[in-house]
Amino acid sequence: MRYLLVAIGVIGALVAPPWVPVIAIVALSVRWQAWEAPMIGLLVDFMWLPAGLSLAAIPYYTLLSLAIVWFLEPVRARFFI
Amino acid sequence: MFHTNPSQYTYRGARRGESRRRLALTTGIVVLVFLADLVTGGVVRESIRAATGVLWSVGAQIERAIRSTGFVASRSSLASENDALRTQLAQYEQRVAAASAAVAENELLRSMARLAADEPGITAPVISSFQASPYGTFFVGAGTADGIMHGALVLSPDGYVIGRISDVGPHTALVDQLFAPTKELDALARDVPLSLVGEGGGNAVARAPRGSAVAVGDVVVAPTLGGRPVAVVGAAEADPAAAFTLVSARVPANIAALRFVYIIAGQ
Repeated sequence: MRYLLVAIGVIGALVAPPWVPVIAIVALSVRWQAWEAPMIGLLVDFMWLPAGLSLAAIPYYTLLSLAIVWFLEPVRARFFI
Repeated sequence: MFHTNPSQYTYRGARRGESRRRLALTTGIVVLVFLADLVTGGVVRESIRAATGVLWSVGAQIERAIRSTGFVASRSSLASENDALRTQLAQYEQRVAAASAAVAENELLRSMARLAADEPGITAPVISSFQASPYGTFFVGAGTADGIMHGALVLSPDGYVIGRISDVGPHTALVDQLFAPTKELDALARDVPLSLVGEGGGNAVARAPRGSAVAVGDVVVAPTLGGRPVAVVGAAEADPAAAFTLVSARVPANIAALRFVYIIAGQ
């Protein structure tokens, strides 16, 4: 299941609408301590975000995925560890 | 009396601590990779894009091969036909589909040729989906090896500016759409200044002073882009309760269906 979600996240980052990798990141972060989640976020930003340091180049997906894995850590610890 | 097992809590606590350490390590690696990409001028992302570009090209070739067989086009239409006519219809439809595709592509390339006669540039295929990017960007199959430069204007086949080149690799380039969500652009419609705000998909909205002479079908041009056309007015609705007219503008071409774009050289 974990590999399937990672595959959905990676393929979704390349060809699917933007909400697909978000779903994969959330699903991975809820159930597992998934290092893959921030990597998927990073992949989305590396693919689609213009390079540079400006307000127009804020890596929202990387930041969002890091926030999600940290935010969901207590939930995961409470129910799955 | 309720008794708890202290060793269980110690074990859980250790697991949680380990989990957080791994998370911190992952966060550190992500930050390091991002910084490494910034410091090296985008080497990491360019490698990923190059690999993905190859995948997209292979996928597009497979799709074209499947379409050229007429299998997709004929299957749905023949479902309602009887068995006796099925084979004959398939042949006819295959020929018509092939002819239609050839005519459409011919017309598209002819319009590109007209653009090329006016301004030097290059016609490049769109190699990525328009819907996949959360940032209103898409990829074209041309790069520095084809003379594409950072900041070059990208035109639709009918000559409207739809974006700018924001990142260039050897064989691919990232296009930043003009009307990506929340992006702003100063423009003119019949000498009425408009501050267009992008909504994605080649659409934008602006507020014009009430009573402005803006009408449906007016061409919107951008002085900052050399006075080139960027959209046409699709709707102009005056709100009686407000002091402005809401103007909706859009690129005439269906952005999501674009297969080729024209990139102006030397920008």
